[in-house]
Amino acid sequence: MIILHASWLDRRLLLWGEQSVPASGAVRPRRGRPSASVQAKPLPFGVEGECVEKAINPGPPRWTRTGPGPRATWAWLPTVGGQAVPSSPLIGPLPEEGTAALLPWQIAALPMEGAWAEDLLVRSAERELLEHGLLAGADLRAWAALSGFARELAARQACLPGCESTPNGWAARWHPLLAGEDGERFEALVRALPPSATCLTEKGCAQAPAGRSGEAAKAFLTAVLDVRMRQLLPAVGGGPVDSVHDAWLQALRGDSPLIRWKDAQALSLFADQLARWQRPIRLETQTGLRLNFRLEEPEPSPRPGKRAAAPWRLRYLVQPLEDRSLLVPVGEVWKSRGLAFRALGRGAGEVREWLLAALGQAAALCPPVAASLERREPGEVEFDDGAAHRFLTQFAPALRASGFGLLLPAWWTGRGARPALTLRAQVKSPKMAGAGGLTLAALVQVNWTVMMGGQPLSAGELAALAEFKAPLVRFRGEWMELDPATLGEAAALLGRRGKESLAAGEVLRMALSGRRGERGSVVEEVEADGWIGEMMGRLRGEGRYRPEEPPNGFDGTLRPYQERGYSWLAFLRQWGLGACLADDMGLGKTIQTLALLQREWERGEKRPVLLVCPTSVVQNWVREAARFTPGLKALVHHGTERGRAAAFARTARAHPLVVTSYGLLHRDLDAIRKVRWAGVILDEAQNIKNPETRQSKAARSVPSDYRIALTGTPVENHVGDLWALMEFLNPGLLGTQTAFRRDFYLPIQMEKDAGAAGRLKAMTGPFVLRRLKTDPSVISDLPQKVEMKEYCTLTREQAGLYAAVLKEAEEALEGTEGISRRGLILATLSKLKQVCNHPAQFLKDHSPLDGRSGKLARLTELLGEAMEEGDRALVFTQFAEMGELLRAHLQDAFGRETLFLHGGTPRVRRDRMVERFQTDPDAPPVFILSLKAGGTGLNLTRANHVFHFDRWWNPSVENQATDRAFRIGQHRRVQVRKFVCAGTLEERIDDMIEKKLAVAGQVIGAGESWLTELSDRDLKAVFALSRTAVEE
Amino acid sequence: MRRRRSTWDGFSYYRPEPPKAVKGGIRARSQRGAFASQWWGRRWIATLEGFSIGARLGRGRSYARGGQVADLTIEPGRVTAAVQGTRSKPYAVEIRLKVLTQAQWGEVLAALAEQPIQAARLLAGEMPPSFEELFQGLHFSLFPARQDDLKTQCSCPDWSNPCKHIAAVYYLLGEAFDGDPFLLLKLRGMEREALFARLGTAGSGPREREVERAAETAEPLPADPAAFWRGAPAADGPWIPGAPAPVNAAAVKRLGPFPFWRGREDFMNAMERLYNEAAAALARDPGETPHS
Repeated sequence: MIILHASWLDRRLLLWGEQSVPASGAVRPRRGRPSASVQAKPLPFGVEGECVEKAINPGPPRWTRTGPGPRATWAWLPTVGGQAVPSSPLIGPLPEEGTAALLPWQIAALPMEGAWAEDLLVRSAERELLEHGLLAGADLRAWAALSGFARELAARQACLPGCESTPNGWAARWHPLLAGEDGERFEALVRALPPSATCLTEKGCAQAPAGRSGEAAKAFLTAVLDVRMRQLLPAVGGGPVDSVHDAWLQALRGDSPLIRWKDAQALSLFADQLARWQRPIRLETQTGLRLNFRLEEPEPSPRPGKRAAAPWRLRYLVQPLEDRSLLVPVGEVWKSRGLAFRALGRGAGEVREWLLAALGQAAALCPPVAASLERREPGEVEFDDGAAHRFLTQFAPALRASGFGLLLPAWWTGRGARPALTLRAQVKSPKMAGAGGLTLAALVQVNWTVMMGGQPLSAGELAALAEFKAPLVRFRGEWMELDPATLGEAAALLGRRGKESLAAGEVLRMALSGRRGERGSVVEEVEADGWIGEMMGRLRGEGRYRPEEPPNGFDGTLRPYQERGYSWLAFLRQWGLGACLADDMGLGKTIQTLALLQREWERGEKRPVLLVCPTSVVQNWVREAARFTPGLKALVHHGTERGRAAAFARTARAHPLVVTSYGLLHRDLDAIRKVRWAGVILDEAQNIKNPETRQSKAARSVPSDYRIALTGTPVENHVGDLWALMEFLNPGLLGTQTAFRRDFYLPIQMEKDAGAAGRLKAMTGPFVLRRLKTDPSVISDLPQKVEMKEYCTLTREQAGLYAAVLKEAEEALEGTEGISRRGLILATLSKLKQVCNHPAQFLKDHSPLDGRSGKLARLTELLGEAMEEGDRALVFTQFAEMGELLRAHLQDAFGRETLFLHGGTPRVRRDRMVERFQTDPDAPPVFILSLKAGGTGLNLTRANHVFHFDRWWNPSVENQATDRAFRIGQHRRVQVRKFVCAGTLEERIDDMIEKKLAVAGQVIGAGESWLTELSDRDLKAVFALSRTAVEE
Repeated sequence: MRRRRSTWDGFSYYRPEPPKAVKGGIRARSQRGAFASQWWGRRWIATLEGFSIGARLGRGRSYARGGQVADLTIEPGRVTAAVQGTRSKPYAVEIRLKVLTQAQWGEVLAALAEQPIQAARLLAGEMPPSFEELFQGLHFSLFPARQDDLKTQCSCPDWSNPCKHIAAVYYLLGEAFDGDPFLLLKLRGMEREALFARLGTAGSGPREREVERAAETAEPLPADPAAFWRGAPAADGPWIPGAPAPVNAAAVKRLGPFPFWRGREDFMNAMERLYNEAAAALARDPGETPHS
């Protein structure tokens, strides 16, 4: 694990790092030059220069570094008892006690200049775990946030050209303009800089650096902004430079900021003039005041329905940014007494200059304000209805965009007031007779009524309203907006006597989205009877649920909540509506889906169903299908020997269920599209959350009657991902991507618009079913302990090693007898287990871990899911070495500390780890234990997941381990998963234990010695490696 | 080379010769037609043109356009400039204008307070016509009313007053006032900061607030490891990105042209070109992937 840091020194940002001490415990000796006066030893866990580069550019280099190389610097770090304190326990142990002092340590630091530095900053801003085993420290991320801010300022052109004096001469510089909110944001970013961001000094410096993070941040911000502007403005061929001004213009572009002009005095004078020229804007951005406009509604007129005679008022208010609750009316500022200025904490001259400038600027954007300035001491403007509406729609957005504060009436949202006119639809349809035949394409009659404030309007009243010509209308004390487009639509509908013929699907869309067409009038209510009414009612979750009978061929029992899920799937299937089953992990999405497939098959569906899932669970699906729906033969389209094109189409049609992986979905898309599928099911559907990826597009392009998406992640939390998912399930429901972005994504994510969030939920809610394992309706159906098997695959490397071990064993076994035979068998058993775990455990070569073991990959996936839900997990392994490998890998993979307890852990430390796991709010979420240590009466009930990475095939030992979590004090349901490598001895032995076989009088499963009683032939059968074991 | 005709300017025959070229001279923005586009700049120029007739003015115009004015400084009551003529050494030009006394300015400021729109407009870079009326109401004149109000001097051998060098400076002044009306007020004796400090009848005097961040007091870095490695928690929620610039170069446009610009290209054009190019480059390659 390497943690990267970035610190500011001498006008540049330097990158350095900490590295975790390798497991072998040997600290690599560092070469360090002795320092002159103050001693600074090389940081034991510092990363050497070249290693810093390697860390950020692993594997085949993505870019080459240009610019200066790493240099030795001193970092002043907290030190306890002569040892530097690392930033995280992932690097090394934190000291238990002792006061820390800042002492210098020698490190290698790399100046961050160039494209690679930008790339690193962008990545660090996005996430903490940059790569497997590489974390970005808090300081690096804080600098990255500043860098992102600078780039945003450049994009918004919030910058002014200026110049400044540098040690190399006068330089042209693009300066950031931090106005209003930008200023506050900058302050917040400065506060987020940790002291480690400014802890570097040159070698030999006698004193610890004083933290000037504000200065450093400003300098950095300016530097990044300047660089960014220069990237956008490459140098053009130098024309003749006749004046300092020409030289300055040239220096604003391209790489070199130095102004090429010899007359120093002229340069200095020019700098002064520039500052004067910039003054009006600088004054605005630095006074720290903001001008607000408050629109006040008139009192209601005594005669309802008539236009209010009293005017609207727009009041001007001054607001200091450091105390937003204070709003001083501008009228007070004109008064001669200094009360207003005392409240604002600023001098009169300054406030008045600022106020006049701000009013002048507002006047340019809003003519009524300009008119008000003709009068002495302007403080407000009066509007009539039309002018008020014009202000709200035209001038207010421009004012807001220029940074003025706007205080508008509560009923005015960003997009307008409540619409005055709404529509109500009445849909008539016959009662559904029988099961099928009806689709969403069927036409139905719709009767429209135009409503205003809950009352229907006649055509005459509508015409009178149109005559009114006021955009804002007050009805029963409430202001509403009269939109001419809606007026037109309403008039057109009434002209047809409100009758229209629509497809049922369109009616459904209208009922869900509340709009007629994509941007049409608001549809307040859709009343429907007959089959449409029933369907819509069930979609909305009303009405009594008619659970479906589980199909006959289903070999297992559905728990009540699973029956409900299955019925829901069946209901949506019937209407050809896409369904997303988003139950928590462990609740049985697989089973519910298989039940549906079985039902379809039994009802006469002859076409195959395509199931797309991650490679690591392909075998799982096959085995679950074999177990619960043995009548559904599954075809695995996977591996190098899979069928191509025509062959595939033929075999696919012969199987009710075809399982393939996401990778093959788009690679073999052509072959897949040639088959007529009944349905397409996506497991772990978050794989298509990005609508632009090939697999996402591929998934959407496979034609089928129905579609199902399965996922464990909470769908509603990620608005951005929702469009891709819904577009797969029900194309067109959420409109185009741009419309979705405009109407939902931006309002919800950026403005936190609750109305938009509510509308989105109303539209997608009927198609998503999500139950948590803590739901009261579920929890009573769940047993306290759910045991599952995870069938994993082997990588090619593992398969190769496995075969090699087998071959060696076969040869060695020939002719051996007795004790040596038994010893050999047990040794082979152990070796094969290690191969199934991880090649590095078997080879004992300290090689990198990632991507070499199917079990490890699956464990990482499952732990990730569990951690996302906030759960904690125990992982058991019988091998202490494997436990250590797991710990290193999981820490690198998730960037979080992982506990590991084995037989050799001293008691005191063991107790501390247990206590930490159980009680510390920030405790590591994963606890690895060796099986032996697991038997020692520990209480680890904070975990509700248990993973058995490898098996000892002694059920009582395993249960005892599981019971660390599953015991008194555990209030949640515990999910236990046992890993089995499919097609290997693990699966076969497991089968034998399940079937409770006995061999030679010994019960299988009480120890492993029964294996030694098997004949050579039986042994070979147990140990054999079948082809399905290997992943693609 | 075409023979130039000599002209009679009422005093002597005068054969025009081309002046020596100046590199990096102050070049008038207007290259054709009238100088100054705003009324007050034009009024300034009109007063000059009212005072004199003849070819001098035309020559002054071409000098101003040609960038022959190498240097120009405005102080209260006085303008000094260096103008390159036909001789190798540039001529020294001085223009003196009477300043208003403190008491007179006091009256002006009191009147300004009655109509805040005036000061607001000034801050926005325009001088409302009522501004001149305000002065007239107090029996002061904003612009030189009579030829005597202006005392001009030039080291060139030309005897006419104003000579073409003075005229060139005059035209450039007109353009400068266009861009920043406060320069005219400065010439009449009132600098911008002082004006606002004294505007309004009360307040705590001309206290200029420190516009740069006060020099930070250096605090020693904390030694406690937890505080050392972590900063303040990040703000909650994503920041709403600020509104994009409604118009390119909006900030520069608000500030207006840089006074006495010497660049080869017009200042506003050059600025707009920079910002437009940056915007175009950004549109081609936004750099960061938007959140999907």
